[in-house]
Amino acid sequence: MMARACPTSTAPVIVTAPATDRRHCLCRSQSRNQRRLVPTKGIPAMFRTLCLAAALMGSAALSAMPALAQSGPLRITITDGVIEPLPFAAPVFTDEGGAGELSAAITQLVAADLEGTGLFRQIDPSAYIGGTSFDAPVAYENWKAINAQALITGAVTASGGKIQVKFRLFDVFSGQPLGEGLQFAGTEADWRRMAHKVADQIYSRITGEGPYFDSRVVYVSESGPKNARQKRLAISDYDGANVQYLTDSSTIVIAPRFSPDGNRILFTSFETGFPRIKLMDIGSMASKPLADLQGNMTFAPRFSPDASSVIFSLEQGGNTDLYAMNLRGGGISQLTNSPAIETAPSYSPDSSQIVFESDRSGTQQIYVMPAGGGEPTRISFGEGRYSTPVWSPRGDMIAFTKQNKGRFHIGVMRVDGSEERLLTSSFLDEGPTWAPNGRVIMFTRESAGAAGGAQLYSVDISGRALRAVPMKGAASDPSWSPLLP
Amino acid sequence: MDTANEQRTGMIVSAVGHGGFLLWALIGGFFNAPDNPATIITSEVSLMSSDQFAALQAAAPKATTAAPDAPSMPKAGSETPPEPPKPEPQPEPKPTPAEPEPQPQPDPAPDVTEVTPPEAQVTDTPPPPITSPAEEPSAMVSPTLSEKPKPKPAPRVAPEPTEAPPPDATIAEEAKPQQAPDEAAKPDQPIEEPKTATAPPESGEVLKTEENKDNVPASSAPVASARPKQKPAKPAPVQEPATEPAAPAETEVAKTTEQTGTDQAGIDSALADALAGEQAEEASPGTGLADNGPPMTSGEKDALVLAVKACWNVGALSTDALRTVVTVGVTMGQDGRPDAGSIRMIGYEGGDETAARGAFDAGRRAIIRCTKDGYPLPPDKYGQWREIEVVFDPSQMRMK
Repeated sequence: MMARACPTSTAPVIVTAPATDRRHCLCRSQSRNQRRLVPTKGIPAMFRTLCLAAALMGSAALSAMPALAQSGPLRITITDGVIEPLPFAAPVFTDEGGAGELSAAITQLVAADLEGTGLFRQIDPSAYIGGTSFDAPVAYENWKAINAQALITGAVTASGGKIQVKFRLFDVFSGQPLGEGLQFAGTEADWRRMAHKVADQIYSRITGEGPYFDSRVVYVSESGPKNARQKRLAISDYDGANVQYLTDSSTIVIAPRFSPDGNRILFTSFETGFPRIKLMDIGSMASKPLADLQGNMTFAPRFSPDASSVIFSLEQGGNTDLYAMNLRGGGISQLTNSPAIETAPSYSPDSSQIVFESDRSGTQQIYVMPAGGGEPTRISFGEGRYSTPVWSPRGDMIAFTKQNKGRFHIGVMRVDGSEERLLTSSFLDEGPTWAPNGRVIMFTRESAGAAGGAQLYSVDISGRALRAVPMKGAASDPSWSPLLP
Repeated sequence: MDTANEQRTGMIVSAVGHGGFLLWALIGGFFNAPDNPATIITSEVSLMSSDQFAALQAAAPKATTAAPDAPSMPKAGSETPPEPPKPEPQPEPKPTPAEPEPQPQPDPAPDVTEVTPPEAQVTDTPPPPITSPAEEPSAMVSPTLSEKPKPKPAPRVAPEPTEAPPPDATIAEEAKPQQAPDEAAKPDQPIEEPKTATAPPESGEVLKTEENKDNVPASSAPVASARPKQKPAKPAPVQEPATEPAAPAETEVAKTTEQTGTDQAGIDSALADALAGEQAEEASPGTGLADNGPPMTSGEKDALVLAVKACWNVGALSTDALRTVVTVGVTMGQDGRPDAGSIRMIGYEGGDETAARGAFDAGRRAIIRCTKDGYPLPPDKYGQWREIEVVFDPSQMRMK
């Protein structure tokens, strides 16, 4: 007999059967004056609860209110937080032989790259507690004390014109390394690139964004007053270092654009007196006209993401439409056909769509259409005029120039036109170009007045870290290269 | 066989029976469901002892007190809308009639089915009155209320916007403001120290960009003048938010422990009788309740949320990570400190694995960084917060 009942009791009686550790609830009904042995399963909801609770109590679970017992972990939701640069510490990389001042220079460049994003803040090295060496275990408490959230240690070795840079990254507050240590090897002349690569690794490990420091920018270098300005193509690192000039200043050139592999450049030349698109190979610096389109103005070229074709504007009889040219076959197809001016086309990263500006509504607005042509959809509906849209390499955003109430803005919006966000405001901002990771935008800012000049600026898509790119002299029309190999 | 067992275990059975009966009485109070089998219930209810009634009454007062409170509050609430001194002069003629009208109208409308033409007129009229009062107050009130027409931009975004610190104050690290809990330890000079020593860095509701940097001046003058009035007190408020949650938490804890204490005392004494001394006589919160304790109050949860979000820095997160909701599990020690090794990702949604890892790292940093001397959690409810799941949802931070 598993369960036993007390005949004198009129209350529900719980009897435990220790032999099998099974519990039954025995309920006695006075009216019927008979006993029923009821398994816990089959009784009504209230009685099951009752019996369960009673069984718990009977088995000496001494909690007084078992019905209110916790059912799982405490759950809280955080929707509100802080946005501020993440403080990091970067003690000077250890010189492991022959590096000399190079280790300090590399350390500074890594820190400058990170700080330049606006997402990080370097803690003043004078606040560091204790020394560090690359191989010693990290004294996390020392770095917690100065509130460093990330710690970068590294070492540099140099011999015979070759250098090796290695680094480690630590999450101070969780006391763990962030990823494995890495080592880069290269020539001493490439020390900037190696520092950029270290910074790229740190940047993407902490933020989760793709790297972009090890990249280049092609732009138009300007000199002379506004009414007699000389222009030539120049290429430099993303931070303005290592400038090379690609053309002389004999003819006016504008709007250079990198190919997806970074080896060729499209640009518009006024060599013949009116704008023509030319294609230049960076390695040989040889350039040739893109197509034989005598008598027509062609401008605003851009490669397709697979580099198989070029999309551009072509003016014919006073009307401007969009055309695509296949680079392999040479065939040209017309994508739009309207009396309005269509220009500034840009492919989506998957080559399926094209974003461009058109004044078919009366003012310049941004439209999206299928890559093969078709009905465009307007996506810009804010105040003012929108122009020069550029699709982000990640595909999620479109950067644009906006003119409203006498001010120019660089802004970003999602590809459906939502979440528009203006990042800058000035006398004249225009021509955004995306960093390879789709997180940073570079553009041209022109200052007012006859003595005003153009300068390149970069800004994070959150609007932070607006700063001038330290180019030599005036510069305009930037185009960001893909990440270098 | 039954009788023999009864003799041997009569005591235990009766004790268990009493205990079960008591508990049923308690729970029966919660489940006043109509679906109870009638016969069984009646017979047992008739057998309720005075102890059970006492226990029921102990539970009942809560409901009764709560019930009167609730109606009284709505009354006050419903009265106050017309009451406010500012609206009075204007609303006197229009708004007050306008508001009552729409409410009564729907009622009579269905009731009086005969009079259709009045219904139509009535239904036509209400919309305009409803909208007009809404517009009037908003137009009138907005300047006085200084409802920020645009969020305050600043280089740093924080849950609680703060003004730029005075020039002579040293900027505290972002963690410093959270040291407010420390003031509990040093109640001697709570206000002066932070004022002179440090000030929290300026922070706003949205990131300051070149485009929105003029937002505040662009707003109407009264707004600009109204804001500073509140701000000078900010250094003190910075402590208040910390002390406020702490104080209510303590009082609530005291209350709950008192209440549960009394309930516990009655229950436990009855249990002690029933279980023949198995249970301790006193209902000290350290014994029976310690494992689970009463549920966390919303105030106690809010205090925890407040503490964690102050360290949740999404500034270095990728745009993908800002679209990823990540759930982080953590095991807490009894001193309110999280076990750093136990922090783990329970799940994520909205992003890929890389984004989730970044979001998780930020959440982990937040939990660890803001620990300080332990989170403000009620020690007697340790069982409730030993395991915590924190959901970090950055969707509202994305456009700031």
